[in-house]
Amino acid sequence: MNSGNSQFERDFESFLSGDDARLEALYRKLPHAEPDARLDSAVHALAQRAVAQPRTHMRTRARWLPVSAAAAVVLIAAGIVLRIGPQMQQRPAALQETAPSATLQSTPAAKMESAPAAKTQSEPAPAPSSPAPAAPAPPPAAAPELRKSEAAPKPAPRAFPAPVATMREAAPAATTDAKSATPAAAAPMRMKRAMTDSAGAQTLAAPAAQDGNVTLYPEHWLANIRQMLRDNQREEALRSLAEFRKRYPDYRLPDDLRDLR
Amino acid sequence: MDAAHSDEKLMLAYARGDLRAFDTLYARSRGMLYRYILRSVTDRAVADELFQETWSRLIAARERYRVEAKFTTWLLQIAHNLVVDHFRRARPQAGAEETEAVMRELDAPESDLPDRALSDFEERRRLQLALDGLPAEQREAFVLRMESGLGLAEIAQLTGTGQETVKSRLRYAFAKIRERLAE
Repeated sequence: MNSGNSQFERDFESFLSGDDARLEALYRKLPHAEPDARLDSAVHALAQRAVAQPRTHMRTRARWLPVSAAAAVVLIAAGIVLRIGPQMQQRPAALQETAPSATLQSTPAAKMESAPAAKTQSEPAPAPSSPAPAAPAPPPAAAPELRKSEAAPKPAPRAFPAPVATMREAAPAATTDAKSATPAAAAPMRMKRAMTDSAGAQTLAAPAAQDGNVTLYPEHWLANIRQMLRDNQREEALRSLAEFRKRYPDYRLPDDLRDLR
Repeated sequence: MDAAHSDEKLMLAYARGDLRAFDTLYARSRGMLYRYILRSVTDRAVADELFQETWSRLIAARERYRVEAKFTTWLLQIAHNLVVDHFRRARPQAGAEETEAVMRELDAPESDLPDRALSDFEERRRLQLALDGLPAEQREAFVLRMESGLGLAEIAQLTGTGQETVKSRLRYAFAKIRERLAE
């Protein structure tokens, strides 16, 4: 048995090393199958076609790929700008609604922008954009409609309330000199301010030169006046209330502020 | 094209667009490749299809060819992958035991002859039957060894298995063929 095994191992080793002449010879006698002429010509045609095809085809495509990608990016960017741009212009009123209390203070950018707005206010203001002082109710009434129609599909403005809110917390008492600017007129300014000046929050702590409350809805303005009173800023509160009375002479003040002098 | 050029140089030349290099390469390899495929799949129509597909893939990949392995090994590797895919698509093959049983049954009357002298033809027929009766992996290893003269390492690389596995497959194949021829 052992000798049989060792004989097999020797034969196997000689087979592996290519010395098994008998088996090799027998294998060579097997039908010598070869591909037929049809196959030969088919393969030759394949090889010829491949060589005949200009290789620049692939290279051209490879060269155009980054160019096409860049063009696509530019087109997409332009599309976004075209799509968002007009919405941004239509948005101020809606933004004012989405974060009404977030606009308590004015950033430096807002101040820069509100100054010319104040000047234009002294001119006969175009009626449609300014809620007349005589009719303080409309803005809040009209606001929900705007909010409904615009709040959902615009992601960009949603990012604004947070930093603006931090602005308010950074300068809770920055509501003094009320100059001119109606809430509606100031709305676009707030919009631009929120968009363009993210660093403005750091400079908000500086006392505001004018009463930022003029840009608020009456209810919020009054709430701020109350807050000033609670913060022992009576003078500022009185000044702000006087400004309020001037702007909203027909507004029925709540009892706690009506007799405040 | 100079016949002294190695297969690898010919392949590189074809990759650069030299069709004559391809023709030389093809003439050198066609028989070996075809027999490897035919003895693996044992069906002429399938062999034709896989043969053409092997060359088609080689042609498509010509620009990616690098002289990291022998050209023959690369070519056979493409064919091997196609053969494996073919077997995966086909129904499961009969196991080795089942094949053995069928072969035993077929050959029983003839092997019963006491004074049978094996003709050359008979030897070849037996070898062919033995090859056909081998499990696919063993047959493939045996054919690669006999047809292309590949060593264990090359067969292992080509089939994606270990050398010991290849050696084991060859050992089983060799034993069965010997047994078959000795009957």
